[in-house]
Amino acid sequence: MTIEEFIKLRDYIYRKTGIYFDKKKLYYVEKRVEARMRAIGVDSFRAYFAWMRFDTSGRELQELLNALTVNETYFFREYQQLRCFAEEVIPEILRSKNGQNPKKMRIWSAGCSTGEEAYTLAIIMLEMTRGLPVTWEIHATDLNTDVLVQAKKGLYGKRAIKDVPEVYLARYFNRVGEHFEVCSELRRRIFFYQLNLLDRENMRKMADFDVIFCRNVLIYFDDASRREVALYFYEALRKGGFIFLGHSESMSRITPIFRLRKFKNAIIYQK
Amino acid sequence: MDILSTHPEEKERCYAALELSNFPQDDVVEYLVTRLVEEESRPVQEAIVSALIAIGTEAVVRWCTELLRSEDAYLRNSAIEVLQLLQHTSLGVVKELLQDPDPDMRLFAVNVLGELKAREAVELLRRVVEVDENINVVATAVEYLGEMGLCDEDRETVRKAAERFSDPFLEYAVEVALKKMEI
Repeated sequence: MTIEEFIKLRDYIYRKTGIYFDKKKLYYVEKRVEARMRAIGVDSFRAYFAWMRFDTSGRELQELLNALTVNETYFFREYQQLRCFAEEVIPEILRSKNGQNPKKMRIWSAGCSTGEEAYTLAIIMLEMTRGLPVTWEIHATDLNTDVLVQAKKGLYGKRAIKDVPEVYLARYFNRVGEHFEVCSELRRRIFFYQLNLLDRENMRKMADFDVIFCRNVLIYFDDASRREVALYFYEALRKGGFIFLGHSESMSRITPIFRLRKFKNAIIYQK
Repeated sequence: MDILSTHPEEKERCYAALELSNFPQDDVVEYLVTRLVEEESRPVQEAIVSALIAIGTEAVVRWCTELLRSEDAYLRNSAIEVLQLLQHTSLGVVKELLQDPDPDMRLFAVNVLGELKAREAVELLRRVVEVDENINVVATAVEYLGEMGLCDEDRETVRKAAERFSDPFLEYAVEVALKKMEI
């Protein structure tokens, strides 16, 4: 792939999705484009770009995006965002609930996959609210029932826990052979259940959340569906509630209804 | 429909709008567009736009074309978004818009065409580059052709655009487009 080809593709993807690939990612993008070219049987970039650009179903663009945004999930992923959640967002939410005793927080990990994000949030909540008059619960949902079974088991390999600080590893995990099992205290704080983010009736029941984490999930939806899901999220949040997207995602490109909040550690959308 | 018009809770109005996407009749479309214009809550307006996209009929396209003439930038942008997402359904109406005496309307039409995935859009953009008298409309069409154009005819059309107007901005747009079309 030449640099010109890369830029042409990069600019198109950016315009359509807001996902931006730096020139340093040329090799990364090239390998994935080559794999997609093999999959559909074309042998030139020119032919591939035309195929993708005019594919009315949008499927090829989606396939390429899937390949480019492989969702490797692990504990404490996108650390700066989590730091923002822990050190800036949680205190702000708790301040806003000064009239409540105990203060109640509801968090939703939407598209939770095998549970790493939900457990990470549980660790953060335990650490940040220890000794405070605060109760909290985490709802973790996914469309895929297989990943939910794994999430409920709470058993992870070395790769998944690579970024867990030693002190938390000792505090919240039990070693089981080659694996690490999350402790029961974490598991009982999380409600895992199946939910299709486009199921209007069930999405309507999701309400009163202070924070929603939906990172690297909306990129798999088409434009119309993404808009609809963003609306459901908006209605599921309390006034002033926050929504965390993946670092390459932009809510402003989906809908103008959320406010952009600039924190020290990250930029987050707020109702 | 009553809920969308009168319910005091924003959430109820949002869901009422989304529910109406199950009713693709023309009178429902007209009602939704009327509510879109009159509604004061942005989330409810966004729900109405989502419902219009989901309905996606010829009537939606016609009404959205009317919204392009609105003074309200939000309504204009929403109309463009709907037209872009409705792809083939929009094509006929957008074609008509290219003849509009107002260059802003023609620019909207070019922006819609440039996001379509239909090959007919390329032919229409080529025509814009060949005949439109407004430099901004032509430059925007040139930019899109740079991305979408594939054949010699497209390249030739873009090249000739620089001859029709003597303007550094357009010359630059032509240069960039030609470079992209070589790839």
